[in-house]
Amino acid sequence: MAATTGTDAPASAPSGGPARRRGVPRGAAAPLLLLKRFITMREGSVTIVTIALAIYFSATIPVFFGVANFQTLLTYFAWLAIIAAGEVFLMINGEIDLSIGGVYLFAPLMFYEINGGGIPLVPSVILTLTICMAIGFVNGVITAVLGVNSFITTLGTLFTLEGLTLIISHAQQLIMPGSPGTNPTTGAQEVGTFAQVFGAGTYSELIWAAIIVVLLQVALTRTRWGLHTIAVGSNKIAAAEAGVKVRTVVIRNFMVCSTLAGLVGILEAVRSSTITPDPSAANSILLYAIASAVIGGTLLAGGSGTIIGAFIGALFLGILQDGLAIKGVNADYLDFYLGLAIIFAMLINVYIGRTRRRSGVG
Amino acid sequence: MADKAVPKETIVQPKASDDDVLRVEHIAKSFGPVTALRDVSLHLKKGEVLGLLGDNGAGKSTLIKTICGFQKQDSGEMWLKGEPYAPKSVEQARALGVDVVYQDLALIDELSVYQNMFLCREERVGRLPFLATRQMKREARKALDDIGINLPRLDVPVARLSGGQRQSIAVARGVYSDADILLLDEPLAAMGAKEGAMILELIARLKEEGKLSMIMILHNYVHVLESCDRLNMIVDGVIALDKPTAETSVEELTEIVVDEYRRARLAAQAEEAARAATAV
Amino acid sequence: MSVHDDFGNEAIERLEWSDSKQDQSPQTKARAVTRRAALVGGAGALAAFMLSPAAQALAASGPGSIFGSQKKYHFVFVNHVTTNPFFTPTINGIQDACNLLGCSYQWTGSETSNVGQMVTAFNAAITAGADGIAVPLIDPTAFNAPTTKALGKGIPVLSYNADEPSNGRLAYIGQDLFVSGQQMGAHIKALVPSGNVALFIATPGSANIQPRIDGAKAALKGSATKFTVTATGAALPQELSTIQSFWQGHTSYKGLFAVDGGSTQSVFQTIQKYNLRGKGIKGGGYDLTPITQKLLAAGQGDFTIDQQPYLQGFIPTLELFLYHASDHLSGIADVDTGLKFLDKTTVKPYNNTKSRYEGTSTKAGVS
Repeated sequence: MAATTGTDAPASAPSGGPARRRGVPRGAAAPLLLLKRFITMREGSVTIVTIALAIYFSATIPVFFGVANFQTLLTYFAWLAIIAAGEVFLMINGEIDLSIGGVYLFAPLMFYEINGGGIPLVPSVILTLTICMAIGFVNGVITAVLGVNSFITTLGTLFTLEGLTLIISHAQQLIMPGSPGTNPTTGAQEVGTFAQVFGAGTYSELIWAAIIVVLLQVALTRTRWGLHTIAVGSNKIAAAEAGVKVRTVVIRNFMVCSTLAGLVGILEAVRSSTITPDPSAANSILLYAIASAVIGGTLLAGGSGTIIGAFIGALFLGILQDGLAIKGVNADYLDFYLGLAIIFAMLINVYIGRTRRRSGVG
Repeated sequence: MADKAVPKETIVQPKASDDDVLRVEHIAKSFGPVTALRDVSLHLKKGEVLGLLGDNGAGKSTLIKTICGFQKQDSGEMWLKGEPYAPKSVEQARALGVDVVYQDLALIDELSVYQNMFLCREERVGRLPFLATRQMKREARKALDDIGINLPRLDVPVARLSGGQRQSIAVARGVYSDADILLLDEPLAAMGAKEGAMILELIARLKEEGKLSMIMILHNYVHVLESCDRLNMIVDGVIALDKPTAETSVEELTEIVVDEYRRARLAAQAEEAARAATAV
Repeated sequence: MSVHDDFGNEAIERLEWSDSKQDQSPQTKARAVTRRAALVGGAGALAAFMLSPAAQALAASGPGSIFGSQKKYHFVFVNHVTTNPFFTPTINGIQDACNLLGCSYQWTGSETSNVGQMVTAFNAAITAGADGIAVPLIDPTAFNAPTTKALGKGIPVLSYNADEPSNGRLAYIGQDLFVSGQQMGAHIKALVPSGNVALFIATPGSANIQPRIDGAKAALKGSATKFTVTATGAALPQELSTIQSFWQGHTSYKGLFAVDGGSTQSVFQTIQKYNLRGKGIKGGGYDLTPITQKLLAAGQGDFTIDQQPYLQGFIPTLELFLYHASDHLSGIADVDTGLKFLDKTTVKPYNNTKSRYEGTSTKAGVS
């Protein structure tokens, strides 16, 4: 992309000296420049940090670099990538959705109630996701039309949904319909088709994540919807002056975010066979999702962000948790290491972000 | 003398003519207790460049925003090409041929040149919801070339461009959208001499083509006299002067403004004296 | 002792009859199971013993006719993890006792083991003139002043689930979490006399599970059974992932054990997934989630511990009521709600609620 014209080497170049050229690099400079260009991509820094972490764990833990562990690793990050992707879209829009934890908690319960009412599994999923879309709609209307700051709006929705979940479930843990069952004689796990597709299959969550991340990244960079999202996030007033329908954009993105949170709730409930109404789960999910988004290179301020980055950020957190768990890190140290890792990753982001701006790459 | 109105005030009414492309009459607009426009009437001929002068807070921006459809006036009427004109939104105004370049340019820093040019006028690949990026880049290049704006790359974020280049893009966007009337709110604000000259050249070129009529808010009298055919001066929510630029001068304009200050000071002094008298 | 069994059965009958008027749901079924398991045998007999003179009359009329004045007492239960599913049976116990005795209750406190919030709730109950207060004493000194204040106003105070003897409370109902951990530690030693075992805890520092693991660690210290303590996280799916990862890094370990419901379930699910029973790996933990019950019955683990949380709600309510009804003369007694180790066979009745629920017999069979 460096399209400047090169100058020819001076006619009387001093002997032994290298020709001074501007433009297409040669020799040893080329891979270094490629690396620099890669780093200055928005997702570059988090990719490097993640690869470094993976290399570290592979070197220090024999089983890390194996199929079995890869399959376990998926269970840490694939679902997180999905919920982070939805959150990123909204963060680029300049808003934040704290209620994703509540929707994550509430959706499996809704699924349970709907399915218990006699509706088959897949239609129950569709109905549940529709309810999640409605929750997103409410969030969006309160934020964009009534003018309440999205932080406050979704904080309220978060608590409301957590409370509703407890009330409806009577704080009781329930078995997730459609999830893997147990053969009473052999004791082995039985995974039906629904469970295979919706979270319990080994690569199920990864496939969902890949499809959703690609779809959202394409939407962000290649559709009018994505363009308007960036516009509103970057400068809401200017966007409105230019004619962008700000309210519609915001509401639509809230709906996407909530729907994905609900999908993840269902997938995880199927994978673990359980619906847990405990709100502490909701709050930790929320924080991990936002951490993935921010580590991945999305700004809290809005107007700038990357879905692929969220995927890699989720991968980073997943590798971290997986590695620490395999190592058997003492219980008391886990949060400490997690926090340090997040700060470290962000420092690298900021440092490289400065390099990006200085080099002038868009 | 509690009356806030300027004593010996002249309110100028437009002399309507048949080739008016835009006419507004008796526009008033308040924001709560603040009155922005009291009684403004204005007209614009086809192909004309009208300069709008006035002190800060006199009401210029409000007038522009009303004409372009961003907000609705409290009272008064507007006509566009002879037909009644009451736009409900910026889009509607744009569809009718009235476009605006805001003071803050309404450019999105994070988006590139061609993305900004096509914001809300995006082109798609057939029926699919995907943006026709290459096509838009090509047409943006063509539009900029047509107006004589020189930018090496169209896919850099506009945040990286200079003030003059950003302004050019904003103007180009308006021109490209087939506007008949272009409203420019302080196009030379925060610009150095060289860049300001670039914009004035652009505007002169557009005027020569004859397709656009323009209303420009400017502060610099020299610029106004150079680039505009006619000027209106807004003082305290009303039009106080309506003259072709050829018939006036920098001195006359300055005189009017100084006069206004003098009157305001006298009014304030009188009020102070009256208060002191009653207090004693 | 038959009259005591009868009382238990009477109470079950009465409560189940009122339950059957509502719609069937897993919640009501689960409630019936824990109620039945608790009210027959063990501490249930103690409750029966306290009420035995009245057992005959209870079937015919309400408690008012037995105890004289029919005042509707209001009791406040303060708790440290109000939304934790472990205490759901406790709430059920409180509700059932209130239904039986014509009282009302309030369940309040903190969601996150925040002692300050609990003390505030305690004081609010005193100000509101509660007829009785019950609280887990998770802090050695914070509750002393409020307890003294309440007792000074004639409000009886009991502790349940967690105790602190230096507090002025009238009685303690429950079983010490630390002691339960020690018992589990002893159980683990018996299952894995030497080698490495893993101990999992969801959220270290939580007042309702940290003492369990502390007890287990104390019991295993210095023995040939070496342990590693790992945190699994607050969300159950994450707990599952963590235990699976851990196993892959420690395939030489001989046993996987946990001190909270979610981690226990995840231990059993991990054992099932990697076919660890075939390798002779031991597994066990606490509490009874629906999946834990199923997997234990299918032989995917060695034990789980039922701390009978139902009784930790039912008995304090009963005691507070009797304290008032007998005009402060009687009703108060320390109760050890005991620790039940459930294995593959003894957990089965917990699973078979359907057939029991449809049957006419109310005699329980878990012992």
